[in-house]
Amino acid sequence: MIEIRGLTKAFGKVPVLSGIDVTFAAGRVTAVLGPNAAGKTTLLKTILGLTHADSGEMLIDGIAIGDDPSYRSRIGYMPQLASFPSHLTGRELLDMLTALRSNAGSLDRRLVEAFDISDHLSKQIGTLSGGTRQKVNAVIAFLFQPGILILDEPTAGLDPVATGILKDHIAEARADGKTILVTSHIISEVEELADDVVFILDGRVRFSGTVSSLKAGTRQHTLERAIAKLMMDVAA
Amino acid sequence: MSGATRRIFQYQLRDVGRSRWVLAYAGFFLLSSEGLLRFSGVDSKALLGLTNIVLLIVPFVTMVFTTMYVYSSREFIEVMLAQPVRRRQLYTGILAGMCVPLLLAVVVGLGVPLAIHWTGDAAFRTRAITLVVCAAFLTVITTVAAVWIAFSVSDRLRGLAIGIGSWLLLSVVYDGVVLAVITGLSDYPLDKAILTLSFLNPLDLVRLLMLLQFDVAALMSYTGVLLVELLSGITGVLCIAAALLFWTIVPGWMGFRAFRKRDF
Repeated sequence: MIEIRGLTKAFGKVPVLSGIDVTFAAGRVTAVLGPNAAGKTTLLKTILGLTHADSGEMLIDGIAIGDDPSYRSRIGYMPQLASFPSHLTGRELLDMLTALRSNAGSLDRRLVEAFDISDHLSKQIGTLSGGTRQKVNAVIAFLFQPGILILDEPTAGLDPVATGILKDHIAEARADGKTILVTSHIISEVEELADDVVFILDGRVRFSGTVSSLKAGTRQHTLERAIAKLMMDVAA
Repeated sequence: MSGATRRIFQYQLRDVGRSRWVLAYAGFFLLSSEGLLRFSGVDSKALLGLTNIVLLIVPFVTMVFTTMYVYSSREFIEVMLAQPVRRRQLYTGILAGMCVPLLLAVVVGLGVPLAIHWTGDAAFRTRAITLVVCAAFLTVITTVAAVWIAFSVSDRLRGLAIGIGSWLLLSVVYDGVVLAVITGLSDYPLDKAILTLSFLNPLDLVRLLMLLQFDVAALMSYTGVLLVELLSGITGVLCIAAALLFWTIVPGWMGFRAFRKRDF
């Protein structure tokens, strides 16, 4: 579970997050939605410590995140654009990430089999196609069986077969009680995967709740229309 | 080195070491030093030629390669930052992993031909060793500066421009300015001012360290002439070495501060 209280962040004078209060529950997939430049990726990166918050606090499973980076061993992260050192092989990269964690525990390598990328892992990453790199990216996010998964546009660049495999894996992680955050521009995907929706606009949370309550609240039948309604209401 | 730093270093080393540019860079030094030593003999002329190549090429290539490399590994740095790793560990690992392959390229590229043509001549030995040490210092100082630039300036083109600009300024323009100051104010006693100016420029310092081994100060730059007089002897070499350490540690610390504060 992730709790965020009063989170603010400005890049220079431009405010990106202006007081975010939100809770991401365990055992649920939460879609973080919002128009471009709404602050979605900044929010995810702040949770990971890639970006420093100006103020506010974050608690993971009830414990406040401080300077100690060890909390990140409980998070699997799939960034939007996967780019790795081009001269390393995939296997070397996986070995390095494993070596960085002294208590890695058992590894979840099932995605390697499911994506059938075992052969590709012995090639230098620079020679792999974009889709294969994204598969490596997914393998890394799930590898350490983390309690929290942060997936930024996880299916971008994946073919339908790989997308299906990844979605199954996400559903399985949810059943295991993991906290899962997903951003996506594909609304049908959100509708298929997500239990909850957090809608961000201009650095504030404008809606936080279940998908069905969002539809009911906006009196729309599809998620796409519900979100459009939400955006228009805020603008009005 | 902590465990995490060592592992990041090892993998960075492997990645940088496999880059064709580093191999080409080492090959360039192998060919040029072997060529110079073979065709113009092992007298001071060949070493002076090598010195000039080192002074010009090492900072430029190191600056361009390191800035471009750090900029292109931005996403990888993001992946690493998402791991349970401290920024200090990541910074040290990246810096060491950039430095060591470039150092190896220069030291092997210069060292192997020098070892092949090794003679009993004491002057040759001192000069050869000083040359390799100078090239190593230039590599470390420029790598640290380039990493600092790449972590402080987020725009890749601006960072590269600042890098190449500082190289141009420190290795070419600086001597011209010093010369202009000297000729313009020739009526005043300027020795100390010039000395200060040289210590402000690490590239000038390395040039100086080399010059102290040759009796050709006047051929290379005006800054040199005055300083060889002021700095000959072991005290001079020690002062320069201390200043070079300063130019490694301070930008290194500034680079770490920039990296620690940086939002990715």
